[in-house]
Amino acid sequence: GLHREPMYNWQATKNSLKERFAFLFNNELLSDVRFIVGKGRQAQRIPAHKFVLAAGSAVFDAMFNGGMATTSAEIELPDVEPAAFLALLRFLYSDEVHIGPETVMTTLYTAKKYAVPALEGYCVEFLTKHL
Amino acid sequence: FANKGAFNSPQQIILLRFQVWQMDIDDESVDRLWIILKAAIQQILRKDTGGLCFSELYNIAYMLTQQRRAMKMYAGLKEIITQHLSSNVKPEMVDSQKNNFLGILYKTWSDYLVEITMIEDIFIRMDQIYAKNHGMDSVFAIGVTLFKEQVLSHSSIKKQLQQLLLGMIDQDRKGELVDRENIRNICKMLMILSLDGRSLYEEYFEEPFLSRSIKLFQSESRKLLAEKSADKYLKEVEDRIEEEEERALSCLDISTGERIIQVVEQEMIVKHMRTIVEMEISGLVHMLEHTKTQDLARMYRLLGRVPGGLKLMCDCMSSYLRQRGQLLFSQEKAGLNPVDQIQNLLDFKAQCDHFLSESFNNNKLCNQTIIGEFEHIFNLNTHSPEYLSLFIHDKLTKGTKCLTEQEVESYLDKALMLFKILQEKDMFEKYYKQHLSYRLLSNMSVSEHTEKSMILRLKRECGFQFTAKLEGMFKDMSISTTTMEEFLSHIQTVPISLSGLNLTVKVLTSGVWPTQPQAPKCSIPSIPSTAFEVFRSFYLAKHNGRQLMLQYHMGWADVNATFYGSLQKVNDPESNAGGAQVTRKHILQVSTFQMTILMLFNNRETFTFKEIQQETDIPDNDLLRALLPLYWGKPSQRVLVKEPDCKQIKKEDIFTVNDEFSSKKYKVKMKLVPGKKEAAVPQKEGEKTRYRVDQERKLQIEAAIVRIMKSKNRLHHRALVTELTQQLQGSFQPSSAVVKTCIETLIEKEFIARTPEDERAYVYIA
Repeated sequence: GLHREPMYNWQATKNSLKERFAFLFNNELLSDVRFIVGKGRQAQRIPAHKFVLAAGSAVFDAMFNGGMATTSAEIELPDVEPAAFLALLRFLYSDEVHIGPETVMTTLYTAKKYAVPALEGYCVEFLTKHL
Repeated sequence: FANKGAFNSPQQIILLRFQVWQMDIDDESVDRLWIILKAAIQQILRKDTGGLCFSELYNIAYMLTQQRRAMKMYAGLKEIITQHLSSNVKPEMVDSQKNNFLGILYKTWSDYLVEITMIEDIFIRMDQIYAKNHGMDSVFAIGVTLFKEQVLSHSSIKKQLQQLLLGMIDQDRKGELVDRENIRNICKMLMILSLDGRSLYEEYFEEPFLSRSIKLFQSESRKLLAEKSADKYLKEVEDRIEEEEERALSCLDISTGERIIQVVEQEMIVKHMRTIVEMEISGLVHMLEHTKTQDLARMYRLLGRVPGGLKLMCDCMSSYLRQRGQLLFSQEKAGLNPVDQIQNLLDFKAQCDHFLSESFNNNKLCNQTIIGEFEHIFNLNTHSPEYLSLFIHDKLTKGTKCLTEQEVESYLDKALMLFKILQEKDMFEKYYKQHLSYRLLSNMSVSEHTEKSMILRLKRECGFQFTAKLEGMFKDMSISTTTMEEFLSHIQTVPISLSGLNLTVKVLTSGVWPTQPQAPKCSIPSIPSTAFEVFRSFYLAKHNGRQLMLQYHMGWADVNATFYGSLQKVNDPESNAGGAQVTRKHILQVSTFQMTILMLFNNRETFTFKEIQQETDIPDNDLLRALLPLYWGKPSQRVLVKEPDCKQIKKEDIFTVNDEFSSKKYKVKMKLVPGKKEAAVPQKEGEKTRYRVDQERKLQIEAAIVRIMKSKNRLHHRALVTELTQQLQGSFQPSSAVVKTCIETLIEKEFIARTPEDERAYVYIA
């Protein structure tokens, strides 16, 4: 079942769809999947919502809803940088792009891998502007 | 990562870190990874997906794509799928041709679709990069194309599919129970297999379906037309359209709906519409004649769907209306009462309007057809202006009919409809003036309010100039009322006697009323004549410089008459009143001429016709007409008796007062000659008015020519005629013959001249 925290009526405090989803970003609240991102000590547990991810990426859609969908609630992504993954999720939850010189390449890689061309575009744009 | 090669030194760190993820792998590793992928795809196609991990497979495919191994994957993928289709799917389908073929085909297809979707998921990255950017087929397109090539295009499978599908539709058309779901599924499959277009759907299903339908509807319509009447046939067609529409919507691809309906329309309507419309005992004319409102509506709906259908209907309706209308309202129908003729025409129009609104959805073309035909019928009859005016006269004359105000208004609206389509509006105005003048002068008008509401209608239609004279007549009437009041109080104050005569004078402005410049003469008796002279001097004193002319033929008089009765004849032995003499008093309502004649008998008992002629000075025609109702009619109601007692008059015939005159009424109105030429009573007026109108038209045309030439200075004949027609269109259509005479006249009078270089052009002479 969904993970529900006893946080009463938080929904009413957010005025827009974007605010509500931004609130759910990297939040255990209502989450139904957990990613173990990165390798070894660097690995990080990141909670997420299948629906939000599947709505933003065909790869996540296939992962959760396709013919070979996983039923496991924990998914390991050893080849992904946690910071880049968080940047991807932030974009999928709120349309916000948080990239800097340190993370742009890994974020670009992640956006490509999970087939999110819009974020890919922002990364390329960042690269052409700043580098 | 070639396109990012322009990095400079400060970003070196990023590049280094990124390389961790982008390490090249050797061919051996590539082969190893591909073997894993290949096994997984085969597993998927075998529907054996247990143990497959999406993330793992996706990672492999992603990595191989990044390592530029897409081409290898494409080729391998095609090979695996082809292998599977040709050695598993095709034989299976060929085997199952006897048994529920379509069901199995669809099941096989939908399973395959699921498999392809799973494979597609694995290759998302490859699709994204190569299918989109390098013009390669997507995994899905590869899957679909291969299915088409390997399975469907197998000749026996294709044939089987087409036959079964068309057979099911045949059954469905016959009303047999059919698994429509099955049809729908196969159509859906064919559309998906057509990828972005609809070519496969057309080839496998729609084209054979349509050509089979063409044949079907061809033979069906032939059969129906041989057996059924037009209305029944149209019902069948309507049913067919509905059925085909429903079938297309519920089990074919939606785009076929429009196409199959076009086939029905083409085969069942377009090819036979003339036959249907002209069908002898049941076609359009029959429907119109028998008020088949519903059938007409159906014909309109169906023929309205196809190009030229409505036009055909309207043409047929046109000739029917023309024929029927001419029968109803032809010039040759002289015997019929004009009012009835107009009423017949209006009834006919009402019937057409009923069809227009109830059957033809108020269609513009239908409306134009109806109006156009009525215009033709109405204007073909040269009596129309007169008849229309008589019709209005009939409704605006008080007495005979008891119409409510609303009824009258509705008649006037209908009359206006005819007025709108009347070409000779000027002619109408002449008659209207005559009829209005009769109503006003003999006090026969229903009400001033209603009269004015008709004038307002005409004014709205033709502008104030058209009705100026008509309105002038009303003005004269109201001024006359005031004048008479003043006159009456005037004679109270002066020592003048009118010898007990009540005089009513209506002063009519000349030119406004249909008066005759040379009114028939008459020597009216001295009492009324003296009374009139009193009025004349009163009036002329008030209005210096005016002239008053009596219009004898338009006047009326109430005359006191005493009949002394006579001894009852002995040939009535039962009568006990025999011998008694009974004196009867009556008031006779007569014309001025009749008054003049009757008052002669105050002086003497008998007059010959010749003497009456001499004494009264009334022109022969008017005299004969005035006399006739006095001596000819119901014997008891003859005021005069003539010797010899016959209708015809000779100079020496002798007139005496009929003392046996009797009537139940105290006031007796002399019936007027139902003759045609009576000036004051509107009957059919005929040639006289037409001549007058023709003269006036000539003047109008000449005036218009001068106006036009003055402004244009130089014009060709054709241009002049065009201008002229435009200017005069509101009141009549100038005939080219008359225009030519007018031009000749103006050239003679040197208003205009022909140009020396062109005979057919004119210049204005200032």
